[in-house]
Amino acid sequence: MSLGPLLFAQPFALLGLLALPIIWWLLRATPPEPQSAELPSLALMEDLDPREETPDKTPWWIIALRFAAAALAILGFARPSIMPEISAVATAGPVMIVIDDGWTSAPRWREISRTAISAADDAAEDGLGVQLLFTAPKEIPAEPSDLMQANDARRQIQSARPVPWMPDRSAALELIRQGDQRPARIIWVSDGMNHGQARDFMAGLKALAPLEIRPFAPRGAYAISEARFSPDGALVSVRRTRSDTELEATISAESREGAAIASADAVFAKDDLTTQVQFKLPSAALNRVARFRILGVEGAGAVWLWDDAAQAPTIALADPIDNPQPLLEEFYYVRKALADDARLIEGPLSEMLDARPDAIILGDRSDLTGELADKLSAWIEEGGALIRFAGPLLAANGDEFTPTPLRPAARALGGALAWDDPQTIAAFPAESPFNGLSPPEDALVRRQVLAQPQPDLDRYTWARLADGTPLVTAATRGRGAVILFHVTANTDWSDLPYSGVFPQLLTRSAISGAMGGSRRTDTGGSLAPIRILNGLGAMTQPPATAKPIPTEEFATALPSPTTMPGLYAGPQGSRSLNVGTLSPDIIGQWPAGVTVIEDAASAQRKGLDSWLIGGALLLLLIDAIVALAVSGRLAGLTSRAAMMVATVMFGGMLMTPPEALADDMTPKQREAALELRFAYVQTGDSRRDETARAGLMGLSYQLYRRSSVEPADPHMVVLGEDELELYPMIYYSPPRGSAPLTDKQVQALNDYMRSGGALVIDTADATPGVAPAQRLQSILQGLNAPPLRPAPDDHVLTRSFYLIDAFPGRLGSQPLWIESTAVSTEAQRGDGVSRLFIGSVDWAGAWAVDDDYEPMFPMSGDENQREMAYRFGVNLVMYVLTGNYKEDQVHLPALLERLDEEAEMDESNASGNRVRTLIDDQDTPAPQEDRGP
Amino acid sequence: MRTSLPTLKAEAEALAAAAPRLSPRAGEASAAHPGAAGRRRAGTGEDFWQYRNYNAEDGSTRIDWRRSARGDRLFVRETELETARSFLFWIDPSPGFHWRSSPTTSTKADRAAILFMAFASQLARAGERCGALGGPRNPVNGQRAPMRMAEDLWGLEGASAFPKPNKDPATVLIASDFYTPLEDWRSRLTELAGRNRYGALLAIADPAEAEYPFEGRVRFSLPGAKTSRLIGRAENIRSDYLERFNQRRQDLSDIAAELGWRLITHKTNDAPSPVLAQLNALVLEAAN
Repeated sequence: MSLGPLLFAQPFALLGLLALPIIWWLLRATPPEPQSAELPSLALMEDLDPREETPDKTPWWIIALRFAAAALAILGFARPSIMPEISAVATAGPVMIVIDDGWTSAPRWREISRTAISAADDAAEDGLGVQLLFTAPKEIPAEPSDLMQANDARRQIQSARPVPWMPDRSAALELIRQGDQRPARIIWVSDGMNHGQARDFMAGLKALAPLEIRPFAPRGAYAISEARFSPDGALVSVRRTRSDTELEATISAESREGAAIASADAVFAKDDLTTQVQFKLPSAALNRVARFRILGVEGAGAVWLWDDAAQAPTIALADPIDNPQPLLEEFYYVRKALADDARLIEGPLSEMLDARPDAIILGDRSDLTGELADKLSAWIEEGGALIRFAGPLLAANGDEFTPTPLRPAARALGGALAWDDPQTIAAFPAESPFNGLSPPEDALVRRQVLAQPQPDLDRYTWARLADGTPLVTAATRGRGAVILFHVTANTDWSDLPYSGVFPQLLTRSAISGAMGGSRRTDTGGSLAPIRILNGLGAMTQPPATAKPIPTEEFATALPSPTTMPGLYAGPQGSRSLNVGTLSPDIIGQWPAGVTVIEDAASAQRKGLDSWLIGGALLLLLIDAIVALAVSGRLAGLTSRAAMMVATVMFGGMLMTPPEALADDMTPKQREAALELRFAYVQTGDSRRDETARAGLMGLSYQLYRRSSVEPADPHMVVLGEDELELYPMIYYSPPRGSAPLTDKQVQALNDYMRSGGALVIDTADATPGVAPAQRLQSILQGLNAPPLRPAPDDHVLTRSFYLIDAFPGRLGSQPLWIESTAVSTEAQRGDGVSRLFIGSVDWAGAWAVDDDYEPMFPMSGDENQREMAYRFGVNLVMYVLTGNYKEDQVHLPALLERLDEEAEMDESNASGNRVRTLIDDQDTPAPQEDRGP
Repeated sequence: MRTSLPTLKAEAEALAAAAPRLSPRAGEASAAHPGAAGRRRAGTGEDFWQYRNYNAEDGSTRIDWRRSARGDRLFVRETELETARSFLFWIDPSPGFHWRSSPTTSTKADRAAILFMAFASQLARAGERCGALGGPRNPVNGQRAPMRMAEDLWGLEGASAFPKPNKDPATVLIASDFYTPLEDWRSRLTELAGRNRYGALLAIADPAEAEYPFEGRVRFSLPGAKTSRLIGRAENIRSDYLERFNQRRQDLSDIAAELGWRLITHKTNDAPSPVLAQLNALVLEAAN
């Protein structure tokens, strides 16, 4: 059924429109369901009137939305389509559709195939027969097909795929001429490319019948025309069809498995049809590259197969001399330097010459004469790069294989009898292939051979020392080159082999020859296909029709049905046959009298059903969102979505390298982490803070003088903000009437003590005979502390460094409260080491010193107590730092003594079967001496 | 619906164990007179209270000869009456109190039970007596006391009416959400406070009640009630709701101030330990 240009494939579906009024009625009846919630405190709201209630009817625009969705869906199911009128010429004979199916058609193959189908449909609508002809050559030469119906034509076009070679239009034209059916009209669905025969082809077609051309030239970059080895990696040339704009295309280097190894952007300037992309890849990575590909472009031309011949240079190490000490071996550093960047082969020079490598590296030798010299000479002329290293032998007897004549002696620098210091290497000259590398600053050259001075020596110099004498010289011979390093290959004469640029110097030298091009001339045998490229640019198994190519013909072979593009295996490794080498230009001019419909994709039939149904789905989606928003559930959804986003971002953060995390440390944290230091809590009372700081300074100073604990200056910490874990001991002197700690601060202190930190709380308000209980109750609120009790007289605090009998501070002596678990043996936590110390005698006041390390405050009472206060401080720090180690140490002499006795008894009474008795704490004397002054 | 008591007990024990205590006599024998507190009148006890003249009814063994020897009259030495204090607990049994907005928090009643059991176990360790207000059993001391108290409280399920005031004076702790009409509470608490000098109101709220995170069309219902109420735009009454919620807190605090009691507020998504600290302060207050 058709309505003007509108055509309905399933007109009966339109009956569904009759159902719309019923849908209307249903939609009006159901408002969205509210969410339900329980809330006991709603009792508070009993008498309150809600300000706005949702109307019990669905809003009109929701109805309109749903109604439109239903109508669109029904129209969509009727499968309407629009038929544009484009065929201007009305004809009354068979229509021939000529289709280009070479690799240049691949980028826009879908459009070509759709246009061809559409043209076939048009012909069928007019009741005309259709003939199809594909221009690309096939294994079995195609002839113009018989007249066929639209359905057959459609099937044949749909099953056709572009082939990975070029169309042969003259052959196609010949076929049409020979055919027995005369077409009344020819439609050429073209790839828009010239291929060298377009003009003749069009003229030929036009002579046969009215010609209509629908060209689909590839847009943008469509082919890689070349890829070759370069000093830094690979150089890839890319082509495009039109040069009127700037353009960027992404080229990716893929491994054999198809994984991307690297990618680079090809940038076309305006008016450029070709551009080059430099891939900076280390040779190890380059050797894994199997092909280059223009991302997002289909077609055999968008893929460049990268074969062995194109890969890393082959370098031969000639006549290696075995040395039992590998580090002294001549080629040790050369081998290390080239291991990743080249394929190394080793053996006698004559064999190496037969292997025809890119470069040969010769050590220090002077026996290049006779037949071997001739052979070497021939190899260099042919394009080989000979890299030589100097040495005592070469210095003594020069030969012809040096870039310039050498002076018959070596120059020593920096010896006992030499004037000069060892020289560094100067910046590489601009014309040298080493230009761009940075010379090693710390590599010294101690000895070298010297070139005979001659006027054009600079021309041969690739690298020189700081004083201007050549270090690397090179000369071209024929197509090849001779490169001489004026030092030894090992480190006898210079540090050069140690330096980081040594590998690059060698690789750049090695590719300076021209062997790379000539190596392709393999000889003998044939190359068998391993993988074949199909027209769309995918690697496939070779079909039965793919044949081996004789090696001699390989270099000149063009992609064709008999020589398919792809990867071939030969005696010298894999070789590739690429289609992009011959990338054609587009057809610039159309002949007169020909109908050309550029961008003919518009000529297709346009189905509207997918648009209509898509629109209906979109409306339903909007409706769902609206329904969620009305019932208030959208917020929940969005918060969940936000959480997912946050999770993803968090995952990303985890992936960031650890250096980044370390950089997050503040300078203060770094200081605290790097050196042992104590901290005091900021109380907000500047006088107290200052006292605490001076007190910890004084204590640190005394520790430094008296013990091996050498703390740095104390830090002030803000509870809940600073990282407390970095400090072994934190001193907290809360002012009278200070506000209770906040939850966050309490949490910080709890975490600190749990992770093993020691918290010293000093209320500094001692009154004789009164326990600090009441005030501490408020301080300790929420603090994770077990019951406290005064430290007993025999606690390890009294003997961890000095033997003391009290814990005095500025305000005299008062009991020190510690965790009761650190006293009794049952229910110990933290190895029975107290993590909390509470007192009230203002220890910091007693310890405090000014900048000259003089006491800041007078003691309230005997001034000698200050010394005792310091001794307590030292003991406290020892206890905090060593835990229960000192407690165990106290018993050590007694244990040793007991062990001695046992040993003696065992000797005297070997069969004595005794039970070892445990030593009771109380019986053990405290054997530690008073170490105080 | 109601969490089993052993589960709650385990949490309460953990909470009580982590709470800070500063007991100067820790470890010393103080078991002779558990929970003894002076009652400020003569009676059986340890501490000296007063000397009074010897009466004919007193036995001759009661004469304090050291004091009597200083004059002509005979004196009897009296000690201060010492009895253990009682703490009575009550947890609102209404379904609204046994409710939580999300499974991640505990119900308000559970939280109240945990707090009370933790507090009671501390009290019991100090020798005080604990029991349920309106419960079938008298307050007791000892290790079993917290569990007995909780069992009695959980047994109140059916009796939704507020219990009758206790006969013997005690410190009373009432846990509820206090959402029922304020005047009811005022009369109940005034009556209770008439007998009990010390007490505390523990007002526990669920985070959903305190923050009112509702938006859009919401059908609200009271837990345990069948009726529901549809609010078209829940966010519109948010400010009114929060105002009333805070007003109720303020009213409660006023009532507590009138009675000389304490009001402790708590949200079930907050840590319980600060509440325990506040309850401890109540003991100190009662002791002074």
